[in-house]
Amino acid sequence: MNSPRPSQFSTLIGERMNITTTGAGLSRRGFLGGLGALGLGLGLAACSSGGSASSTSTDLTVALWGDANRAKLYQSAIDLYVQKHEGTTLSLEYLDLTAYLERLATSAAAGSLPDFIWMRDTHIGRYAASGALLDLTPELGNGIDTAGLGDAGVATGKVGDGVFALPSHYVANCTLYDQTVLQSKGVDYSQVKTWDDYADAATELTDKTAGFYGSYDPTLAATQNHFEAWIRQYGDDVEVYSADGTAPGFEPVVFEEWLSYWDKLRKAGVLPAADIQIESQSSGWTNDLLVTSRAALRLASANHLTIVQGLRQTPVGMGVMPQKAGGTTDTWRFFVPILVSIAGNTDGADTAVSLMDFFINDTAAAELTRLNQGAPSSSTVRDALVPKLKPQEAQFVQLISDEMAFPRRPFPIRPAGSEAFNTAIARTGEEVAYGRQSVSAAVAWFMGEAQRALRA
Amino acid sequence: MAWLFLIPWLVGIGGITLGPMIASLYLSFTDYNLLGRRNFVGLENYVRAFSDDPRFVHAATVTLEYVLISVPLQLAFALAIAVLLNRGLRGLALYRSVYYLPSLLGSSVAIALLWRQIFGSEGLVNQALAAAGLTGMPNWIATPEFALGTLIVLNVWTFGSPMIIFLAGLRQVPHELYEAAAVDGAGAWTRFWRITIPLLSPVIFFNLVLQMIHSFQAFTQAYIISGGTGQPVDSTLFYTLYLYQKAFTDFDMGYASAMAWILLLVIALFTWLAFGTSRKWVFYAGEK
Repeated sequence: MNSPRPSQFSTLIGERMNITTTGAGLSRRGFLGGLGALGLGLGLAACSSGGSASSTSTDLTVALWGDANRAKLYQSAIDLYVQKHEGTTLSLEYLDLTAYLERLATSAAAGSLPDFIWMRDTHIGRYAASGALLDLTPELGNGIDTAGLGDAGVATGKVGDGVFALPSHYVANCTLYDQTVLQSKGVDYSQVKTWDDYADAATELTDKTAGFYGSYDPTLAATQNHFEAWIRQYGDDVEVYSADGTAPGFEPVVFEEWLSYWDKLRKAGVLPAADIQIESQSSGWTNDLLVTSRAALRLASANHLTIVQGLRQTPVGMGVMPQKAGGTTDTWRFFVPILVSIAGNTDGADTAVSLMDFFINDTAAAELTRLNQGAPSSSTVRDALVPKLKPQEAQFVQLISDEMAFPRRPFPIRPAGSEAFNTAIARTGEEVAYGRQSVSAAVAWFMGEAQRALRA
Repeated sequence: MAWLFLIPWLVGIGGITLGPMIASLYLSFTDYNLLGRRNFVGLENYVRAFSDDPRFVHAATVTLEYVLISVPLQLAFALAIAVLLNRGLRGLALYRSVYYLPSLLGSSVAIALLWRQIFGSEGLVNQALAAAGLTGMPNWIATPEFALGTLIVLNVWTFGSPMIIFLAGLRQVPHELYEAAAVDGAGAWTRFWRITIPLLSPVIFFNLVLQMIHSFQAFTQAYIISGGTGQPVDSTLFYTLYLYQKAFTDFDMGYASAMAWILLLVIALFTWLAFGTSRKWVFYAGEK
C-alpha cells in the first residue's frame, strides 16, 4: 500500500485536504465533485441526481469536517480498512465545518455527493428528505451491525419511513473548568448540580479587579446546543420544535428565563461584556476565554476537552452540564449524535455499507480515532475503549454510557427553516447582551422570527 | 477562422456569465432549496423580500450606508493623494506603488484578518490611542456602533485604484490653464475648484460609477471579520453576506437568486441615476 499523498490548497473560508489511499492522487469522484460544486456555484444550472449503474465500485470518496489533526487520525483508520479490504481505494476529503457544509450542499445540488459522508445532526432532515442519501433500512442488522447502537441510536437517523444515517459518535454537553482556579478558590465542581449552583460557583470564581470572569457567555456562542438542552430540561414534552416542525416547541418563558439567567450574571460582572465575548470567539479556540485563562467555567461539547487541554499548560476539568431544579427527572443532557450517511447515487454502496459498519463497530478503528469526534456510538466499542483511555477521557465516555443506558427521547430531526431559526436565537442573545433590547422584548421578537423561519 | 479565436470568449460569456444569469433568473421564481425541490412560485420571493423579511431590509440599509459613506470618502481621499503625487515628487513611482498596494490586497482574506487584529481591544488602533492618553477604548469590530465604520475605513484605505486613474487624469489637465489662472490672481484653492475639478469630472464620474458598483458587492471583508454572521447584532450584515447566508446556510437558493436580481436592478438604478445627473456636473473636452 502506498502512503498518503496530501495535496493542500486554501479556499476562501477554510482549509481543504484531499488524501487518497492507494496513491491514486485526486480521485475521479473528487475531481467531479469539485467540478460539480464549481458548476453550481457559478450557475446553479441544470443539476440533477444521477442514478447508479452499479453498487459494486470499490473506489470511494470519504468526506468529513474538521482540522488536519482529525484528518490524520481518520486517514489512519481508513488505511486500516484498506489493509483489511484489498483492492479498495478510499479518498479522504476534509474541510472546516462551515466550508464543509457549503460544499456538501453544492455537491448535493450537482448530484455528486461524496460516497461516504459525515453528516451533521442539523442537516440530516434536509438531505434525507431530498432523496440525496441512501436508505440504510435494508442494511440494519445485515451489512451494518446495530446491536451496540440500540434503538435510540438507530432512531437518530430516522427520517420519515427510512433510516438515512447512523451515529458514529456522541457528543455530550458538559462544563469545562480551570482546575487550578477552582482549587485555589475552594470550589468543588462535582457539587454543581443545578443552574443555581453554577451561578453561585461562577460568582465565587469571578475576580473583577483582575478582569477574570466566572464563566463565558453561551448566549453568544455559535451553536445553540446548550440552550436546546435547557429547553428540554423543562419537561419530557418540551422540545425545540413543535411536532410538525412549523413552530417553536417551547413557550416564550423558557427562552426568557435562559436569557435572564445569563443577563443577571453579565450585569453582575460574572460574564464578560458582549464585545469581549464576541472578540474572544472570533478567532477560534486560541483566543477562547478559558484557554487564555480569562474565565473559569465554560459550557462546551465534551469532545472539546482535548482541544482546550491541548492549548493550556494547566489542567482543565470536565463536569456535567447543570440541571434545572425541579425539571426533568432523568439525567438526559442532550447528547448530539455525529452521524454517517451514504450518498443515494453512490456506485459503491456495498463498500460504503461495509465502511459504515467498520467505523461504527471496529474497535481497532476506534483506538485510532479515539475521542476526536466524541464517544463511540456503539456500547461494545465504548466498553472496549475505556480501559485504554486517560481517566478524564474515560469519565466522558462513562457519561455517555450512563445516559445512553436510559435514553428518554430520540434526538430530534430538524425541520426545514431550522437554520434561520438558529440564526434568530443567536441574534436574540446578541440583542440582550449588547443591551439593545430587554429580555422580554427580544424574546417577543424572536417568537415572530421563529414562526417566520419555520413556515418559510 | 475568426470564430475559432472567438470560441474561448463565447464559452466564457455563455458558460460562466449568461448561462448562470439566466439560470438564476429562472430560479428566482422558484422555491429551489439546493437539494432538489424546485417549484414555480411566481413573484413570491420578490414579494417576501419587501414585505416579510426585516433582515433583507436591514441588510439593504447597512449596504446603502456603506456605499453612501465609503465611496465619497474613498474618492476624496484618492483625489487628495493623487493631487499631492502630481506635484512632481521625486520617487513618484515608488509612492504610486506603495499607495496602490492596498487596492490589490484590500479585498483579500489576509487583510480582513489583519483588520480584525488592528481594531481589536488590544490592537494597533487602541495602542496608538492609549499612547495619546485615550484609554478604555472599545473593541471597534465587536461593538455594533463602530463595526461598520471599521469596514468603511478598510474600503477607504483601498484608494489606490481610483488614485491611479485620478493621477492619469490630472496629467491631462493643460498646465497653461493653471498658469493663466495664477496670472489672473487665482489662488491654489480656486485653481483646484475652477480648473482641476471640472476638467477631471469625467474621471471622477468614471471612478464614482466603478467604486459604487464595487461597494454594493462588498462581501469578503464582512464575511471574514464577522465570521460569516454579520455580527455584532447584524451591524455588518452586507446585502451580499445575507444573500450568501440564504443560499448556502438556509438552503433558500430561490430566494437568494431573487435577491441577486434585486441587487442587479438596484445597481443598475444607481448607475442610471449617476449617468442621469452627469449631464449637470461632468464636462467633457470640446463641450461648451
